[in-house]
Amino acid sequence: MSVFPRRLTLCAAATALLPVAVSAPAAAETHVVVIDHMKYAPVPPLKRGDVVEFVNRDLFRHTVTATNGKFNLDLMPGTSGRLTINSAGTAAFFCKYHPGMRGSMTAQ
Amino acid sequence: MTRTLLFTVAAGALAVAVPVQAAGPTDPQIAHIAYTAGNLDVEAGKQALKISHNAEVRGFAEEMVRDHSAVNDKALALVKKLHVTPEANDTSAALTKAAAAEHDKLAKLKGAAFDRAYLANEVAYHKTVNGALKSTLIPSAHNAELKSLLETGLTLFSEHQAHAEHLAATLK
Repeated sequence: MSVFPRRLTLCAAATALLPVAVSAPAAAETHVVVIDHMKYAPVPPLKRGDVVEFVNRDLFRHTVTATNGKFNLDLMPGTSGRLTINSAGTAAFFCKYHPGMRGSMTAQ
Repeated sequence: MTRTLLFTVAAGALAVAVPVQAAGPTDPQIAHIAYTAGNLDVEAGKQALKISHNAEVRGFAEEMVRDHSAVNDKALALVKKLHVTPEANDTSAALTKAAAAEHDKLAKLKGAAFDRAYLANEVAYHKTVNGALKSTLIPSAHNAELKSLLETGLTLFSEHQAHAEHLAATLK
C-alpha cells in the first residue's frame, strides 16, 4: 500500500489517487506534527482527506521529504507546511539536511 | 589535581592535551568551548563557500554555517539569560589554534583536492567535538538548559558527521 500526500503549499506533488470505495467517510481533520530537538513528533493515525501540518519549532531548517520522492516540504525555523492525504497506505519520510531524522505516517 | 581532556583536532594532524579541573570544566568554560567549536566550523564553512565549486560540498558548507550559527545564537541567548560569562580556557585556545592551522592548509588547495581535505577535516572535527560532548562537556554541565542545548548539539553534530562521511565517500 502507499499513501500519496498532496502538498497544499508550493504544490507540486503527484496525485496518483487510488480508487477507494468509501461509504459515509468520517470528516477530515487537521493534525499538527511538531518538529523540535531534531525529531519529528509521531504522526497520529490518518484517513483520506486529512491534513497533516508540520510545524518546525526547532532551531534548524528541516525538510519532510518522502523516501519515495512523492512529496517534500522545506521548512525554515518557525514555519510550517501542509500535506493532504489522498489515499490509504504508509509513507516514510526524512530530513534531507539531517538524514538520521526519520518518520512515517499511515492512512486508512 | 588535574585530569587530561584530550582533543585530537584537524584530521589527526594535531593532538592537543589540555589540563582541566579534576571535577571537569565549569559551565562558563563549557559554554566557551561549545561556542568556539561552533564558530570555528562556521568559519570553515565560509572558507569552503569561497573556494569550492562542488554543489554538494557547497550545500554541506551552507548547512554547517546555518546550523552552527543557529546553535551559537541560542547559546548566546542562554548565557545572557543565565547571566553567565563564557570563560576562555585552554581547550578553546587549543581548538582555535588547530583550526587556524587547518585553515592555512586548506587555503593552499583548490578544486577536488580542497573538497576532499575540507570534508576529511569536517569528519575528524565533528568526531572530536562529539567525543568531547559525550565524554566531558555534557556530563560536566550543571545547568539543565545548557545540558539540553549540548544534547541537541550532539544530535545535530552527529548528523553532520554522518553527512560529511557520506559526502567524503562519494568524492573518492
